[in-house]
Amino acid sequence: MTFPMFVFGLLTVVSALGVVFFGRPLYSALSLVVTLFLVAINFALLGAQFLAATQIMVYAGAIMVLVVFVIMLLGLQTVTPQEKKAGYRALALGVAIVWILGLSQIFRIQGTPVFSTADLWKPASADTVSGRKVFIRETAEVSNPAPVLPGELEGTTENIGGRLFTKFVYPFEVVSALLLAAIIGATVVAYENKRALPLGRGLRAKQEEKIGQKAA
Amino acid sequence: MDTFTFYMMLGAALFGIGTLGVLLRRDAIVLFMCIELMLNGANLSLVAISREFGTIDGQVYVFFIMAVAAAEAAVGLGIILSIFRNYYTVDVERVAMLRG
Repeated sequence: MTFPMFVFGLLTVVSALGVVFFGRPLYSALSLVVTLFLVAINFALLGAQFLAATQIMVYAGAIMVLVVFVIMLLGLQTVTPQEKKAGYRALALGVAIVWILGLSQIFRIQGTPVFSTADLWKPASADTVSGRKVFIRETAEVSNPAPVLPGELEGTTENIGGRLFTKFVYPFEVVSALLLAAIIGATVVAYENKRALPLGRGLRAKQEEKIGQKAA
Repeated sequence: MDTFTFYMMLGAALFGIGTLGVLLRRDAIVLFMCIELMLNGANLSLVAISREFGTIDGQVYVFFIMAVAAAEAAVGLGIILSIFRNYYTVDVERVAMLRG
């Protein structure tokens, strides 16, 4: 674990905690933008260059813009984080801590860390394909992969594009159809031409009236 | 601690913090943002695994997850807008008409 990895990992966790614990929704949204940028940096540190750029463009640049627009349109008031029952808070913390610890090196199987793949791969031998580790349970197809593209198996645009249009072309087309359906669906769901959104005073009276009506 | 373990733990931490937010917050939009946080934790884990196994298929999976998350964001925020138009609140403790 090198110094940049540790620093950016720590910053990611800090900004993620900011998403959860800020009182105002807008501060949570801005914290999430920072988190998404840091996750893009983590992708770059892992060698996934195309994904780092896509993450910034799609997540931080489009999804978060949408979220900030909705926060602006609704004019949300401040909601404090722990308005649910006190038991929820302890339970939620317990669940999150057990989950994170359970997925990290705290729990071990026969002395090896849970995340280690050291006992799964054979040392370099005649089965090694271009120096890559060869896993014991690999099928023939994975042990001798078809040549992907010139160059290493890095996360460059060229390599991912090659995969996307050869091995993953069917999911690619399906996702295109899914995006079209999502566009149409979002437009239909959010379309409203009769009344404007009321903001400010009188909002709570309207809330009580509407919720009382629907509950009755 | 090697790179793989560190990034798996980071992905687990992001996922756990997102879970914490989903369980604690009452605001539908912040709930949605915490779900996006969980998705990013899973994405980070996938990229770490794909690097460990010497393949880039994991990164292609992450690409598809991003596309689906964008579609989900559009539809989910449209639903939140619709709910606000009808109930004038997005508090999930109060918009509980289906509760028994």
